[in-house]
Amino acid sequence: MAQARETPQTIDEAAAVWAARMDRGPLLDEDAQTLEAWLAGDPRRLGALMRARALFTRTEAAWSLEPVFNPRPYDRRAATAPTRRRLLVWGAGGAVAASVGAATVIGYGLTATTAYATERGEMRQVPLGDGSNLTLNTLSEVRVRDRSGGSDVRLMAGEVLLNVAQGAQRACTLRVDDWRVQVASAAVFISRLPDRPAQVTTHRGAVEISGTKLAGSLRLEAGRRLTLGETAGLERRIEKLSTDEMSRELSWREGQLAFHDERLEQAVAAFARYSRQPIVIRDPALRGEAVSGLFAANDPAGFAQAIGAAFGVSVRVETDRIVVG
Amino acid sequence: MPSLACELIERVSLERARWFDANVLPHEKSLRAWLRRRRLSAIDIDDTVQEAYAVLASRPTLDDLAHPKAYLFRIAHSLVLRDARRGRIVPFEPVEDMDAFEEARDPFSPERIAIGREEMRRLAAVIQAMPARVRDAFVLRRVHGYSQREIARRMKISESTVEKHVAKGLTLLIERFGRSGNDPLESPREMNRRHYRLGSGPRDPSDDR
Repeated sequence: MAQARETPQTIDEAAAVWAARMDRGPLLDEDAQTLEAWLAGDPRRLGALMRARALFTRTEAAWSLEPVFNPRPYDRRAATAPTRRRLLVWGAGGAVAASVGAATVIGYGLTATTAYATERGEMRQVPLGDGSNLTLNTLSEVRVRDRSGGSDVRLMAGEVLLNVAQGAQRACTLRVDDWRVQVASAAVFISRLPDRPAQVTTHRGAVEISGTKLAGSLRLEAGRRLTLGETAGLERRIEKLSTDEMSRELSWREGQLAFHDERLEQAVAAFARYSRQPIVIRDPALRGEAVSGLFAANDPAGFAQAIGAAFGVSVRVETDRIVVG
Repeated sequence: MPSLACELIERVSLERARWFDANVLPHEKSLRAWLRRRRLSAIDIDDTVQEAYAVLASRPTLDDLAHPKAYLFRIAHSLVLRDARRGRIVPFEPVEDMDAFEEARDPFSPERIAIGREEMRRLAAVIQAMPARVRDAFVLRRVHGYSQREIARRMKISESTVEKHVAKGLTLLIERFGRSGNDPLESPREMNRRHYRLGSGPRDPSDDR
């Protein structure tokens, strides 16, 4: 208690160092132990580290600054070249202005980036030109940037189907986290949902997947789904889907949710993404029951009634929730 | 690391950090303004914000919070009261209706997208102001998406130097976007712009001067 309190600034600086260390790769056991002990040492440290990590994730969106920031080249020739520094180039859709030194007013290509998002229960189609389009499922958000060769789409959250028309001149790049999916004349479904790794399924044609941590690229043929995440063992996480599984994955486009031997709690979680009226399963034993069937996504009450009838439990529809069991 | 207890580290997973960035950090500025009006010193404000974030971050789940802003203010309020009892901070009058802090969040309002751009502009300004090598490493990492190892190879420096550059860049971001209440990047125009955010919801009392 008598000890001088560590200043918030000191804590922030240490938090930034830890955030950078965590960004380098999985922590070594020794580092993890040190960090865990550091966090336990003062309650403010966890808050500071959370903010540092959160601010760092915000810069994930900085990919849209690509036309703005080009680091100096660090190849061999540059190393021996005169020290005259290459200036940062601030460009806006081909119009390029060179800035000298410090704070320059920024007028760059962000105007070409558009964000599209859907509300709970909403679905939305975004034309990309050239007959290609993007369909957003409920609670989804994308950023779309046009470039000369095609569109650059970043999935921020949710689920999206990208359809690049056959014979389209323009290819699309679909990005999620550190991954890039090159889509030329193909249809691909990508999901980035909370608490589970992002997944890519090719529904037509084939796509090329590359990642910043991956050497080379991976081809994903139609009918196959890849679970992203660690680069190690990436190929082993490709699964072949049946025709049924493929159509179930896209049933949301018809406003339907399709389940096949899904745990009830997972089905309930799926409904929660479409409706503000959550379903509450009171009996824990019921949560693990398997459910199958096709249901209207916007009718959680109908789904709950079906569950009630199937398992012989009561269903009570209240104004802000539906209680089962 | 299955053999180790990493409970606290797991609390700052990337997924949770993303949620935090989207749902909590946007309210830091009004939280600080609110604490300032209660005559907390700059250092007490920094302490309170860090500790309030820690309380939030230590929750087992985050995305079940329907009103993160009201919750954040409530935590901060109880921390200030606690410190007042300890005599560390002067007490202040009871707070107004906390529910007024909630604002409707419309993910596709043009205002929100405009603010996204404004934030991107600020981010770009912070990146541009970084020392050259720090900026290059930071840009390669976050704008171009290379791993720290790959950046080390490209820049012909050690991985630990890259890590230091990234940490430095992040520290500069923290200084600009958080801490100490002064935000040199916010011009009066941007402050006006900020009120757009309130357009669709109840007026936020913390935005009053």
